[in-house]
Amino acid sequence: MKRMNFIFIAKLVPLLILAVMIVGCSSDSSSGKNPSNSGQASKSEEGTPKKGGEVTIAYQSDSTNYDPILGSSGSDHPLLWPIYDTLISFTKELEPKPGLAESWEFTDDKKTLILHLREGVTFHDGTAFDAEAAKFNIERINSDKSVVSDLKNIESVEVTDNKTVKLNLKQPDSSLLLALSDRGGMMVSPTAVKEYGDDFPQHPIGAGPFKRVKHIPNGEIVFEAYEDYWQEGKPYVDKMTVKVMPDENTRINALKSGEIDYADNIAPGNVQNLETDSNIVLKDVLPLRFKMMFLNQSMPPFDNKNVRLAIQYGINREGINKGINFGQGEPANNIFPKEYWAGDPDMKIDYDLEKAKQLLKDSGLKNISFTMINFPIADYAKGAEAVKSQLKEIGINVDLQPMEVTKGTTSYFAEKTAPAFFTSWTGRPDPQMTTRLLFSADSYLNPGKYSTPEIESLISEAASSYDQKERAKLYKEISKKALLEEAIAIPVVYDRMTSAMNKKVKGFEPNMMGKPVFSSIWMEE
Amino acid sequence: MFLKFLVRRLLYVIPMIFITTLIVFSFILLIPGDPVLALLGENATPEKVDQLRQQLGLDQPIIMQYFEWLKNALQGDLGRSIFTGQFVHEAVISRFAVTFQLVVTAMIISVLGGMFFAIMSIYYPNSWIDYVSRFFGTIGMSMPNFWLAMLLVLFFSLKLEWVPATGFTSINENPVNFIKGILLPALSLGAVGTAQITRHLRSSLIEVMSADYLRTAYSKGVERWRAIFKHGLQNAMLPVVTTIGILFGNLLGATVVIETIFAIPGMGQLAVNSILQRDFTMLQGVVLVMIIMVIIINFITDLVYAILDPRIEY
Repeated sequence: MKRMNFIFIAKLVPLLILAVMIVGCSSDSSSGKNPSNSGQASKSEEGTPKKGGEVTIAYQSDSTNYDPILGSSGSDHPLLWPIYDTLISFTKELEPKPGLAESWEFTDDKKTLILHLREGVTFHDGTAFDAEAAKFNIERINSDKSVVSDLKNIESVEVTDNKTVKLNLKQPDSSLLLALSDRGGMMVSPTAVKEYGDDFPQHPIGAGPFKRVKHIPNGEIVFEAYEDYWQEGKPYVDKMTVKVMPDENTRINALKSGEIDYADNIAPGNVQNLETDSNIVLKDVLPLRFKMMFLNQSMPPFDNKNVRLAIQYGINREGINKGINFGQGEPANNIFPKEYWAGDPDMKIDYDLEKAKQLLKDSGLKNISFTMINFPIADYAKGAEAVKSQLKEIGINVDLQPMEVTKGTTSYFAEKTAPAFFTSWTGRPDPQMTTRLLFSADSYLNPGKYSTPEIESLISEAASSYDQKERAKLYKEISKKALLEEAIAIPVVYDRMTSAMNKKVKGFEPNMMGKPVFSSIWMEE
Repeated sequence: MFLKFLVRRLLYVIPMIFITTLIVFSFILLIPGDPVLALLGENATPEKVDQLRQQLGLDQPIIMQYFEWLKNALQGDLGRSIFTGQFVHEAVISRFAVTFQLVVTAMIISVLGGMFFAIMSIYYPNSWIDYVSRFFGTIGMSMPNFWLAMLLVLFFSLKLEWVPATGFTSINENPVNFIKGILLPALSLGAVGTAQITRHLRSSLIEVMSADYLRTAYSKGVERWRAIFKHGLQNAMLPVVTTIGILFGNLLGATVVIETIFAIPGMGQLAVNSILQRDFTMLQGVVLVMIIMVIIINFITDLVYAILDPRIEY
């Protein structure tokens, strides 16, 4: 009998361990937030693209869903773009360029966008891509089933002829073009949707350069070149295999030992170590992604503008870039990088301790302290610690509350349990989206619901302008007011995005979205 | 007699599955963080959140959700992943095949390694191999498996380039590549097992070998090898069988880390991803299969007990 008790307890142990593991195990960066790249790819000195061959890629996560309207993670795109071509595409500087729509124009009242579609395009199942297919897709994206909200401004879709669609808008919307290069513009085969219904994500069929031929969820995704792809000569490789490797060291080991050809998302610390390896080529970009502090202006102490401003001027961004990014990133003086068309090369948020201390005095508050949610992940933890120690110098006490990503996001935006949140802004294809989401009072990502009438009116002015120069000017003005005068949010530091590949991999160009586009890759012998 | 025992043990299994699934299910739903927000991500708006929560049935009380799930599970329907829309049973079955191969290989390494070290150290007491065994018994237990895994990769994959650093090939696809791929992960997993079995078997053998009946056997001229294998091992195996039973559950749990390091698409990795995404339906499926596995192994352990020592009754 005694033995039985022992055995019974012994048997329960693994189950308890399992239970504890499930509740306790949750700290990784893979969910939700994603990386972004932009920039300075080495140009055509790589030679003329060759056809044929295979490439094996290690990517940090699998797509949350292979139906573009059902996923929301920013890290899904690199696995969706090979399958689904978009109505509009983007250059690596993030300006719109023709995709499945050859050209487009807005009507004079700014409330209709006319898209002229490319001829001779077919989906992987042979269905022709035409105006009806485009209408089907856009209506699908705006249906109740979809979680994508970028196209909500489209009131109706009209088919004028076989290759022309008119999008009628509720109000002018300058973010529309680039929204059509994101999930909103990913065209799926209407025939396949009707045939497979709820099983469509298991049979993703688009008009992109690759067909998905095999999928082991969170394991391996195999793509084969689509032989009838509309772009002559593309894609270059016959087969592309993406292996999901959430752990950075695993990706690096696999690259070094030759199991893969390309690894995405290499952290600054490992960049230095890979630079010495003569078999490996690194390509990087400074993307739209930056680390920042969200402040809830409806909660103390951030209902006091002087406290917010004191924090804005009390952070040594240069120091944080050196400390956590090994100097490879850039101090975030704005919500857009300097090189971006909506960015402002002249904008600088000074690091001014005297000014910060004076602002605190003016606030009339004493012994200021607040709680800040942060992620217990290497870079984020270091960034939050740095902010904490810098704010201590001006006399503000920060209480860090480390939480795993999903929990932290829920707590700050939905439950509003803390007044501050240290996280990343992952970037959006159009600056209008970023500006509105961060600074407009009706945005879900602005839980303090704080803005000024002036900022709001500038945001709507920018929404109704289709002129890039004029828009750029407006975004500069909005940024200055929202950051330097109101401190609605606290940008901290831009992280450089680095991809590593072996010497055979050519043609890869990082873009400012920080989401790698794999279809430009070609392989040397 | 044995049949009666068998039926009784089987009857224990049913409430065991029921109770553990209920506990684990409640734990899962108590994980902080909202799956709906994880799902909507950048597109979350209050209306969408409410609509989706209702659609997924997450607005129901936990106990209702449990019975709803149980009702479907009993009919063999584990539902679809909240995220990918994939059927849970399909995902779990394909992953299970991978993890099972990994865990079984690690078990084989543990048992063979453990028996080898224990027996050698008993046969050559206070020799170098005895010291090596004892040293290994301590170090193997205290060394974290992820650290060992990284060292093994560094040495055998990156430096010597003998085996790949990542990846997995199923044994029925290509047995040679299977062995190449599984070696390091199985070694990293099996190190703790080897150490545990070495320690338990060694101390249990020491006890048995000094028992009276073995002294009698020696005096009748039985050789030491024969004494250890024929008389010692069978009696010393009981605690080892317990260890093996428990070890199986531990190894299943440890795959969570090892599969991530070696990029092996198994159950552990599926569990981690499901937790991070709050993919509750998928997680429930994974946990259910793990629980059933552990319970089956325990059941087998009981049977092995009864076979090894016919005196055991329950």
